[in-house]
Amino acid sequence: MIELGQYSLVAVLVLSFYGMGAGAWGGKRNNFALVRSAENATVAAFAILLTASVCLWYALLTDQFLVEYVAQYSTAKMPAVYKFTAFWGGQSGSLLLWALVLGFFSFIAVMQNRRRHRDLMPYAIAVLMGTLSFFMVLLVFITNPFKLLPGIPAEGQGLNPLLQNYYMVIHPPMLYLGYISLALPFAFAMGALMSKRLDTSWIRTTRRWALVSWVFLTFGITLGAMWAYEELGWGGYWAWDPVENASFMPWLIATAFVHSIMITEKKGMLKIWNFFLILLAFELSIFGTFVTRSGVISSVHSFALSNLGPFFVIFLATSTIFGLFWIFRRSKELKSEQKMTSFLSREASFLLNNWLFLAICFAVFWGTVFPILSEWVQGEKITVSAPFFNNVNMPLGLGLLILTGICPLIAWRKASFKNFQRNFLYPLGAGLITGSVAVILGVRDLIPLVFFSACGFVMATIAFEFYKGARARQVIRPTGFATALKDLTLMNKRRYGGFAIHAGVVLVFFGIIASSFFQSEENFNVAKGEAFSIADYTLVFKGLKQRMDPEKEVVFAEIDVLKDGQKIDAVQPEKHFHHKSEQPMTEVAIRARLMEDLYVVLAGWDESGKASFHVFVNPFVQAIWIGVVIMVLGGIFVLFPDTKPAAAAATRPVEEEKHEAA
Amino acid sequence: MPHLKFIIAGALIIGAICYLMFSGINDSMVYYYSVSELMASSSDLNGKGIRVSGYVSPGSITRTSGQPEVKFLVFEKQSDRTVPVVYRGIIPDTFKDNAEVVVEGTYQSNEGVFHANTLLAKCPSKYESQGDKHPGDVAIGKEPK
Repeated sequence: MIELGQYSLVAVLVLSFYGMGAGAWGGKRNNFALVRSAENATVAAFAILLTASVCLWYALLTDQFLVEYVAQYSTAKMPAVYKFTAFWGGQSGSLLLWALVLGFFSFIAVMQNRRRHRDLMPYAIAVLMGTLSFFMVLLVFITNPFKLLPGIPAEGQGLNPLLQNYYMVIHPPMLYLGYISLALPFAFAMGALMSKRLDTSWIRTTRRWALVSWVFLTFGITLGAMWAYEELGWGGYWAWDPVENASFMPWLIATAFVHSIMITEKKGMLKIWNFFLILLAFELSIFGTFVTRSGVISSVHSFALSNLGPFFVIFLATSTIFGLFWIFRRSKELKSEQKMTSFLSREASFLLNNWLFLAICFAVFWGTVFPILSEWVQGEKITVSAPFFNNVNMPLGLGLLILTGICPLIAWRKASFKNFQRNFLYPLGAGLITGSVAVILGVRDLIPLVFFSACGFVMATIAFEFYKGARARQVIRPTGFATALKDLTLMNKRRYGGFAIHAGVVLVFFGIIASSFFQSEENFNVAKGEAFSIADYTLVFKGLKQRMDPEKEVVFAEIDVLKDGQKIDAVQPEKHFHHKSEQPMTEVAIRARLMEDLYVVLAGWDESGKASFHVFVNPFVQAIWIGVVIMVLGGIFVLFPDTKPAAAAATRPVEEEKHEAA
Repeated sequence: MPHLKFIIAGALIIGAICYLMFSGINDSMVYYYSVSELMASSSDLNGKGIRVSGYVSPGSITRTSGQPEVKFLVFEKQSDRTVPVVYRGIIPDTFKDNAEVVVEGTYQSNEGVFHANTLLAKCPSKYESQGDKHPGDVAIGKEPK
C-alpha cells in the first residue's frame, strides 16, 4: 500500500504536467483530440490522487509507523476518527489534501463542461493542472507523506491533543475547500482571457464557483473561530493571528468579487477590476496556505520555519505575473461599456463597497506581513497587535455595514430624492429607534450606539424589502401574505437569498460589537464552598473532583450557577492530562444562551484546595454563530436555480425589473 | 469631467485609510528583542511594546498564592543571560520549566523587570517545532483588560 501511494504521487506529477501542456497547446492549435486527452488526464489525476489518499488513510488506520508521517501524527491508541483526521494534522498530509481537493474540483469542472465553454476549457484545464503540478512537486520532492523511517518505532507520537476535537475534524477541510475552490474562478477567468471569449459566459461560471468558495470560506473561518473560543480558553474567538488573517483575506476579496461581478453582469462595467479581484483572491488563497504551512510569520500556530517558503514564493510570483500579463494583454477588449455618472447610484455604491473590502484586506495584509517588512527595511522586527486591526477595521466595517443597507436598494445611474425617500425613510427611522432603545437599555459608548443604529437601519431595509415584494406579488396573484413571500423568495433566489445573507451579516456585526464592548471578565481564587459574583451571576465552588478516562486523567471543578439567589444551572470546567502528552489541556465550561455566554476556565489549584477561575460573561456571541449559519444557508440558497411558478411566468410583474439586481 | 470627481473621492478614501493605518500602527507597535538586546538597552525602551522570546529558567517560577500572577526568569540559549518577568493573567497549560515562551509587554530599564501582559508558551519536548502543527501548539494567555 505504501509503495502504491508513492508511485501514485509520481504518476499524478507526470499527468499534471502533461495536462497543463496538452490543454494549453490543444487550445492554441484547436486540436480537439489533444484537449480531450488533457481532460482525460485530469480525470485520471483525480482517480490516482484518490488512490494515494486511500493509501495514506490505510497507513494511518492500520498504524504503519514505518511511514514517518504516521509515526509523527498518529498512535495506536488514538480513536479511529482522529487517525482518520491525522491525514491533515501535519504538513505533507494537508498538502496531499490540497492536491486531492484540487483534483476533485478539476474533475467536476471537466465533467460539467464536456459540452459547454469549449473555447475556454482547454486553458482552464491548463491552469488547474499547472496549479496541481506545483503541489505535486512539493509532495513528491520536498515533503512526501509516504517517506519511510529507517526503522519501525514501536509507537507513534500522536496528534496534538488540542487538535483532537470535533472542530478540527471539519475546520481544516472546510477552509481548504474554500481556498482551493478559488482556483476554479481563477482558471475560468484565465481561460476567458486566453481564449478571448470575454462575453458573459465566463462571468456566470466564475460567479457560481466564487460563491461556492465564499460559502466554504465563511463556514471554515467560523469553525476556526468557534474552535478558538471553546478550546483556547482566553474568552475570545478572534485574535488577528496571522493564520486567521490568512484565511480572512481571500474571504474579503471573494466577497468583493461576488458583489462587483453583478455590475459587470448588469452593466458591462468594472471588467478589468473583476479580473484583478479574482487573481488577487487566488493568490491570497495560495498565500494563506503558505502562511499556515510555512511558519514564515511567527504566530500562535507555528513557531519555526519549514523548507517550503521559497517554493511558495516562486509559485506566487509566477502565477501573479502570468495573470497580470493576460489581463494587460486583453485590456483593450475589457473596456467598460458604460460610464459611471453619479455618486448616488448603485454602480458607485458597489464600487465603494469594493474599495472598502479591498481596504480592509490591505490593512489586514499590512498588519500580517509587517514583521517581515520591518525586518527588511529597518533591520528591526516589529509586529503590530490586535488594537491596530480593530482600530483600522472598525470604521471601514461600519462603512460596509451601512452600505449593506444602501447598495441593493439605491437606483441605477442616478438616484433621485424620491428613490431615497421611498427606500430609506422608514429604515432610517428604525435605525434611530434602535439607537434610542440601546440608550434606554444603558448603552452609553458612542461606537456601539452607532453600530447598533446601523444594524437596525440595515435590518429594516431588508424587512421592508421582503414586505414590499410580497405585497407586490399579492397584487399580481392574490394569495396569503406567507405564500406571496415564499413565491417571491423562490422566484428571485439571488436577490432574496442575498438579503438573507445580509441579515446574517447584520447579526454577526451585532454579535461582534456586543461581545467586544460589553464583555465582563474577572479572576477568582476561592476555597471550597465559597461564592463569587460576576455580572448578574453568583457562582458557588463546590469542590474539585477527578476521573480517569482511557486516554487521560481529568480534574474538574463543580460549580453551581445562581441568579437572583436561585440555582439555575451547574457548570464543570475541566483540565485534561493526556497520558501521551506532558501538556495539560483546559476544557472551558460554556453556558451558552442566546443573550450571553457564561464562560468559566479552571485556571489552577493549590495544595490547600483553593482553586482559581477565570470567568467571562460574553454577551451575544451566539448571535455571531447564528448570523454565520444564516449567511451560509443563504449562500447555498442563492446557488439553486430559480423556480418559476406557472402563474408567475405568464405575467411578468413590473416590480420585478427592480428585483433583478441581486 | 465626470471622472474627476471619482478620482478625488478615491484619493480622499485612500488618504483616510492610510491615515487610519499609520496612526494605528504607531499605537500598537511591538518590537522583537532578544534577552541580551534587552539587557544592553537604555531607557528609551520605557513604555514601548516589546516582545521577547526565550526559555523558562528551571526552578525560577514563583506563583503568588491567591492571585493569577507569576514571576519567572527567561533565558536565551546562546548567552545564558536572563531577564526577570512578571506576568498577570491566564497561565497557559504549556507553561513550565524549560518551556519556550514568548512574552509581550513593557520593560523598565531602571527596575530591570519585564512586565508581561501576554504569555505564549510552547511545550518543551513533546511536539517539537516544525512549523507545521497548525493550529494548536500553544495556549494563549491574555491579560484582563
